[in-house]
Amino acid sequence: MARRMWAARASELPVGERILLELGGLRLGIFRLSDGFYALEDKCAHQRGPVCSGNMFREIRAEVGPDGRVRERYAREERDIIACPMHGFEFEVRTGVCLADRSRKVQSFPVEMDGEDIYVILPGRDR
Amino acid sequence: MGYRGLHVVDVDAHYLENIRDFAQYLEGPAAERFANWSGRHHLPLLTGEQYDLMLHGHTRRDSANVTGKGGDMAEMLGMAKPADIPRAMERLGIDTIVMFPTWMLMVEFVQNPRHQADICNGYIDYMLDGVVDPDKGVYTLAIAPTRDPELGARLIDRVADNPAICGAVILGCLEKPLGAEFYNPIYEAAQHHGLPVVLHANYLGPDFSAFAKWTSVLEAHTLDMTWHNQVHLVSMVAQGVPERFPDLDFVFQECGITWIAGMMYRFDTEYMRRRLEAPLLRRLPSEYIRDFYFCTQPIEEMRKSHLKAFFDIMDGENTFMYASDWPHWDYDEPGAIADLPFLSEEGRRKIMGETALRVFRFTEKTVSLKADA
Repeated sequence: MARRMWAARASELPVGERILLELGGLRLGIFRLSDGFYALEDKCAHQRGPVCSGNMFREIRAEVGPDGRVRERYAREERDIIACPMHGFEFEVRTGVCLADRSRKVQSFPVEMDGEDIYVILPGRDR
Repeated sequence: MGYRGLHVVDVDAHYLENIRDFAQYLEGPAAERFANWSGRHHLPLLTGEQYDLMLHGHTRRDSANVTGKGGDMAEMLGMAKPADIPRAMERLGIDTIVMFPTWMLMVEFVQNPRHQADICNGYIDYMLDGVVDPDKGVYTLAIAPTRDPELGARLIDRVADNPAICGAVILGCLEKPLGAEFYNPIYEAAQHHGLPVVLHANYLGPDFSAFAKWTSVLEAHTLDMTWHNQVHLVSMVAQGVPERFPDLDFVFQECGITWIAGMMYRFDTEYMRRRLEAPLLRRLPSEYIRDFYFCTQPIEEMRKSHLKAFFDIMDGENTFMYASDWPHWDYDEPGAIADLPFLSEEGRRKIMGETALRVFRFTEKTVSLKADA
């Protein structure tokens, strides 16, 4: 049975910021991006580091242009990538997916809004 | 302390030594030269001064701070105060720790043999005077200057009886591979005092690599450290160091573990054809290599079944040792090794501490320490 847990008030969390909290026995990061709120477990998929306290970045991509030269660019203007401060592994805040190895993932949780209130949907406890 | 009830020995963590403080430990003209040095560093700088080992803000060691600052490079280079060491041990769950230097990693670049030996002597006295404390499980190694191996042996002889010294170390970037008889005085001294010899691989960075000029730390760091250890390991085996010093243990650090397996079999294949060039050997090169010890950090990321194969090939439960490399950007948590699902309980205990407790020369108090369950 999923648990719908109150996490924070939206006004406490400006766009581009995150808060760290403990909820339902888990350490979480609640992030606000331009299109909404996201929740990640504060446990890196690599060596369990405090990924949610890392710095946020724009995703850097590169492509080969018609002239054969490599051109680097930002995937988006938004800083929606979190880097684990322990080793630098990068993860998408929206999905928790690791940029370098998409089979790795920081656990992400659905977020629901009720007016100003942010709720995180956590899995139920095993009995 | 410990991790999962294991006595954890970390055989590679880094202290950020204040190299200007070495002067007070030197005597005669060396003290004066050191104290009045006009430059800042005495040694070539680590490449992190130019290329960003901190990954452009991606890694930090002030992880409680979420202000978005880039972090402090010095915090990642090494522990800067003696009091930082027990804090790191507590944070990681380490019972026994072996401290390595930071700036001194480049001491092999000092060409003048006397100056190199002065720096190494000043360094070890600085470390023994209040940084390390065997009663608290904090040890270090005698850094052997190699430009003049007799001076290296003299340093080992001078400090070997200190209980905080658990081995000798040769820091990387040697021009002459370590199989050469040139190094015999260092090996003889270490063997005489019952100390293992550690080879701490070195990374020269994109600018200084002897192999190529790189455009990124990624390329340089992927290749330099493993090449470095391969060069010396092949030289030592081919020139019969294990036959010449049968009672000496060697520990290779800082390269993970996958570089060894492929090279073992290539080496065996070459040896089968060219045995006459290495007549001192009585066994296959791979058999000598399995008598060496290897630190696991940075353990390679791969499918666990593949990693298990590397452990099997190398007899890893008997030849690998955990090392953290804290606080460097590619450090490993104890759980990165201790939680590997394919290890036997005995193998887990050996890799996380028991093998190091046997190979390094720790005090009786350290060896008999029982970790908390």
